[in-house]
Amino acid sequence: MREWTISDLIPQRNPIMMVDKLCSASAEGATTLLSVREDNMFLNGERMCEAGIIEHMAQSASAMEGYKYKSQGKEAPVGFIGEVKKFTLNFLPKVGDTLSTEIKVVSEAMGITLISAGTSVNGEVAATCQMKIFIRG
Amino acid sequence: MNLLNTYFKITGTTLSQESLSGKFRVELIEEHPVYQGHFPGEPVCPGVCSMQMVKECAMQLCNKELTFSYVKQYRLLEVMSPQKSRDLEIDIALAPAAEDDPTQIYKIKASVCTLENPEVKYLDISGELTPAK
Repeated sequence: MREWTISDLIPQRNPIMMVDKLCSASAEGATTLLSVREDNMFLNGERMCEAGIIEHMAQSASAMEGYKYKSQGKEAPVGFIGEVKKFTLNFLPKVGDTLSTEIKVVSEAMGITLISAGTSVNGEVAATCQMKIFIRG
Repeated sequence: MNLLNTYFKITGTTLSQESLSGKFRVELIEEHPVYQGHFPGEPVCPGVCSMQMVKECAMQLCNKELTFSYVKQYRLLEVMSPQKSRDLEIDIALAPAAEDDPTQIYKIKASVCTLENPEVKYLDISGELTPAK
């Protein structure tokens, strides 16, 4: 897989860049990583709040789309969260943790991508959800 | 992350005396640094910040720190931005998820519209909020 700088794959910039690395991407899904650093805007003391996990999941899907576009020689698109369903939180990650996220594409049609997302820390599932993302290419 | 008074401010409230529900009139603060990155040259409210804003208003209702432990459905129906939709009204209803529940989880239903055009719903959310231990 070709390596891109993450800022080539997602349109978000600091202080709200919530993916460090796209590890794999295909038509079926993607995997990503994010280290929880002290300057992360979603921290509540030592813990990342649930909004941060959801943003990380959404940007993981966005990076997957960005990879697809870049592979076709196009600029990465802007994606918006359209819907979050069945978000289940098991625990809030803390500073120093690395979030490891798996995105699975459920369906994709007319600029709307339906995904399921799971985020783990050291193999323990922190949260899962389903998400609808609008892609503006 | 605390967004009250940095990302939004509460300009008025209509709270129900007997139940945990109410309306919050809020104003988005255009200068919040998140708009530098979301997106450069095109400030758009991150959907997760709107969700956090609803939660922080819910915290005012019950006077507790809360976490969304479950989101049944969160729909973002219109793109929000501090220019297009600065003055908002947030309608929140909280209810204890169960009688005598030691974890004191609340069920929440909330929606957001602009003050200018209350007919247009920007988002709605249903789920569960767990108080911090």
